[in-house]
Amino acid sequence: MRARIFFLVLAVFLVTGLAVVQASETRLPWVLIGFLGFIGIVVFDSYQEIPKSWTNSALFILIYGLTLQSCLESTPDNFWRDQAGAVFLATILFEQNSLPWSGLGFFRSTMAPSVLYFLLVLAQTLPFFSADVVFGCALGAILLFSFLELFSILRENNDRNSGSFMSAIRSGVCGLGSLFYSATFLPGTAKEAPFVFIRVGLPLLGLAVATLSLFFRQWRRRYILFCCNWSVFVFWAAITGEAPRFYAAVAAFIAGVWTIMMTNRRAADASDTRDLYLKLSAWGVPGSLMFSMIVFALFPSESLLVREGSVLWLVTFFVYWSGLRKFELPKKQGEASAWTWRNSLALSITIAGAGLLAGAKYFPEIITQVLGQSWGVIK
Amino acid sequence: MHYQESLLWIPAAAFLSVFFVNLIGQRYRRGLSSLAVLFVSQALLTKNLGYIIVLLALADTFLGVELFLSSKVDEKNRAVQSLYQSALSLLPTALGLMLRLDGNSLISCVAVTIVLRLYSWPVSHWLVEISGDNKMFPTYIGIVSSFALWHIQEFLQPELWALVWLSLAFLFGLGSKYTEMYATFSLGLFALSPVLGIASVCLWPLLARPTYTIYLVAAFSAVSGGLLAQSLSGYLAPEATYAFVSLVGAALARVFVATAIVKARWYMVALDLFFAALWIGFLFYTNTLPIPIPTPAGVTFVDSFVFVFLLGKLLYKKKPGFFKPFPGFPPHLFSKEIIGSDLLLERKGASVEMGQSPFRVLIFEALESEGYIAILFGLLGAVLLWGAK
Repeated sequence: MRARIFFLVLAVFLVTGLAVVQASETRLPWVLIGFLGFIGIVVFDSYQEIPKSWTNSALFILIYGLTLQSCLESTPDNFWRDQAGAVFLATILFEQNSLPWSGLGFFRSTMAPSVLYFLLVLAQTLPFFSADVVFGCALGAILLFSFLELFSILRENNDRNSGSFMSAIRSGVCGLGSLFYSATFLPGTAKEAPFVFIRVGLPLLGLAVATLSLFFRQWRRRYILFCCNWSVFVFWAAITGEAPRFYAAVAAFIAGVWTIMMTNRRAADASDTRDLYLKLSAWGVPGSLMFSMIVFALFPSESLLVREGSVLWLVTFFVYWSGLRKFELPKKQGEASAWTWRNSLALSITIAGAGLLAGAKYFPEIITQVLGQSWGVIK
Repeated sequence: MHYQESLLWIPAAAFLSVFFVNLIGQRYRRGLSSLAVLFVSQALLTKNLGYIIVLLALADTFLGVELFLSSKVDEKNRAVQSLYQSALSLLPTALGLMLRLDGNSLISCVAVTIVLRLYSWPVSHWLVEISGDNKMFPTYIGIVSSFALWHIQEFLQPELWALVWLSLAFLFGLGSKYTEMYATFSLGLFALSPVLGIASVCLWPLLARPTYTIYLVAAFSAVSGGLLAQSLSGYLAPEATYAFVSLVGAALARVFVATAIVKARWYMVALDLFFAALWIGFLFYTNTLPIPIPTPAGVTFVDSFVFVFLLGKLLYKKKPGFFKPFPGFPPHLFSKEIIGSDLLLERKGASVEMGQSPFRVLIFEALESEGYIAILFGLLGAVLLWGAK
């Protein structure tokens, strides 16, 4: 196990180093953002699922490498090719590590959306499609990958995949990909009718999925949908065309990936306040890192569509939080696992993240100056 | 700014004095409650509605965590459930802010938030539900946070808001507490005249316990209601105004009649009176209070209140049903079973084994101790208070 952990950490740093060497000045921040997102998956992997087997470790490194590679590409075609590879490997990893199920129902397998994703990527390369259709395909691909876990939501034992490293990797690849695409390759047609209405359409979709989650009786299945929605939320914040909101989306992406891994999978223990706080913080309740990101990403806008979108997102989060109204601690306590340094680190980060709100006044200006002017992340 | 800068400090001072008296009474001596109090005080001093919402949300969270730490399992469940209710109460104002509403539209959103935070009838609000034995102080947070949201609004039609609060007082007077009625009239009065509104805030220390000081509160409520009633002439026909204010006066008196007076330690009551007098004195010293001239509508309100109050005191023992608050909706009306995480299989967590050097043991023991969360919350509070300046 120790050898695999060592290999994993070394490989992450090697791949990052390689990407840094290859990256131009404008792509360097993307390598850093990707590194920050994926290193969180390794650090907060409390159950050591990635180094559990060589296959998992190798697949993780491959997915990480492909994702970074996609952010170094100079053309959209190459970007989508790398992303498609990462998506395919992520679905393999998902199927390999998820608990057994009946296998019935083609669309319950995550391989089905993976194939659809490939088709949408291929369709973008067809020469007779207009810019509108090409962007439509790109949008479909991003949404398909964001809701990858929605396909498997109804299968047996799927609740155990909530808060898993597969979920975090899906969120990492999808989030970094959609952020990079929005900042670098987003076509002009995305800012015109009818695509300009996705500023309201995406939150509406999020609200619909949140409403769907109310029909699931298990918290963990709801949380899977919450994570899917968070990816769409990040994408929405990135395409609104406002620099501060874009940087909030970058921060929300990192917060989302980390938080999925920070959530302890054991049952809530009434005697351990820290554990319960960590669990609640994964839903973005006030006083958590994710709540700060929600506030930053939903600040009032000049654009009417973005304002309406913000309102819909806020309502969406309230729909998810509505489950808290019926919260009850388990009566039977299972065998509690030890509170580890990883949990303490997670707790520190989520509470420190809540403290970021203190910089609300300065956040847009400072971050825009640091990332926008110095590095030019946005086109 | 529609009211003077010096007036900003009086509500915060009045609120902190109530907290101080409660500390003496050994009701709250825990860190997170103190942090929640500081956040609410900060909200009273802040002029940005966005910051006020965030400060109140965090104050509610700290109070919830505090109650979670200090209570039984059932109370713990309710403490978590309350987080949602508290956040939901702030939603209308947040929506108004995000949609960039202004004028009466934004004030309407704020008013809805206040209704959700202030009244414990017909649906128990979160503070009442989780407050256990210490009901009064958490209820206080509801009153103070409502004022924090209201005090920065710019009222273009103050008489309209006087009418709104009088109507709400009539409606919620069917089941709410006298403190909530008093807070309602304070909000209406503040819309009409900030100085008079702050004058009513000066009496906040008297709301801390329903002792004999309740008569002072009742008298000031009647005067406040009378002042609100006087402003309705532009909105209602004279006959309708008299009928309406009579009904509201009677509804208010009914609430005070039904409130049982409890005994409290003399020094606590003395401290409450001292602080109320101190803040009123300070207000008189720093500001000129407008002296209203009574009009028929105002006199009708006060007459109606006094008549029903005296009648109620005579009849209460024989016919308590006339004065008792109406029952509200039962809690968890729409509850549905949810499968929690206890029914799922568990796997043990794993951690990288560290060396056993004394320094590492010391560090990791500190990291894994329960007290760690208190230290982190303390740091968070300090940082956020600094940021909300």
